[in-house]
Amino acid sequence: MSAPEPRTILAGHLRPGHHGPAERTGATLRERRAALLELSARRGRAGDVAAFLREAAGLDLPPPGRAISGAEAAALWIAPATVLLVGAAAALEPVRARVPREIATALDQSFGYAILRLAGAAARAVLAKGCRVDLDPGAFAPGQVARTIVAQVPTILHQADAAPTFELIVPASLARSFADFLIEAAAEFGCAVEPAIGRDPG
Amino acid sequence: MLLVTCPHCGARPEIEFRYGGEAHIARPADPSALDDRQWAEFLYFRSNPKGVYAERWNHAHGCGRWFNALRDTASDAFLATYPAGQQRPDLGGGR
Ligand SMILES: [Zn+2]
Repeated sequence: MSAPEPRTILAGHLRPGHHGPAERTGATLRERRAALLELSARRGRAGDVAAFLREAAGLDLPPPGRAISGAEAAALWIAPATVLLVGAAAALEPVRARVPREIATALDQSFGYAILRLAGAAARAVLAKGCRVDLDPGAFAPGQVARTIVAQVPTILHQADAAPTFELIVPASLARSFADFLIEAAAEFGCAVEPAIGRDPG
Repeated sequence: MLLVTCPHCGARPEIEFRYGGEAHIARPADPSALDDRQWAEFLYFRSNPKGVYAERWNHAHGCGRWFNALRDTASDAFLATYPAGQQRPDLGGGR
């Protein structure tokens, strides 16, 4: 049987390769394929959503500007009483199916956004070309989330680890030009584009 | 770079925000009871001070929430920000 046609917007666009000086790799860029589930608590029901999330996904409701990562998914704070769950479709689909509609709305955003991972010693310098949020280690640390604008594109920015690795979640319709911006911005430091990780959420 | 402190997200760059005009203007409870002059005053007349101004801002490219700010229109300094629905804070010194 042949492999199914990949369906994410970046499949076929973000090709593995090296940009800029061949002897240096200041940044690595790759697509992460994952499911996205947005949960928004109805008025006064944030406590119920926190209890549901703990029971259904083993995750606490993140405080403002933070992410809480579990074994199978991460919960990102994106607005008051609103979280974005990022993880494998196999982990998130059962959560989506069980959300009590009287406590929250549940939106499958898997194909509404694309996820890019930018990592490496030059990652902060690359992002500084398009992002005005202070990403200095003293101001922005692993586990922090900011919804902001990067290179004119509305972006959910999540620092995943201290490498540093930044996860950039952008509208799918802008993801190709956004990836091109990142490659262009990273080329002077040496930019390795690596194969996608994760599984197609479809 | 001008930083605006969203009550939910903290200090963030100005480009994430959208301006929403003067704050604390209540919509008349019974618009049909107003004459044209009173309705025009509700719609169009603003205090427009040189100095401290209470105004609405929207964190459009952040959390999406509306909030209020006290800004000095002469210096452009943000003196306070506070969630929508809260009373205008007292800055002291008659401001
Ligand atoms: Zn905000």
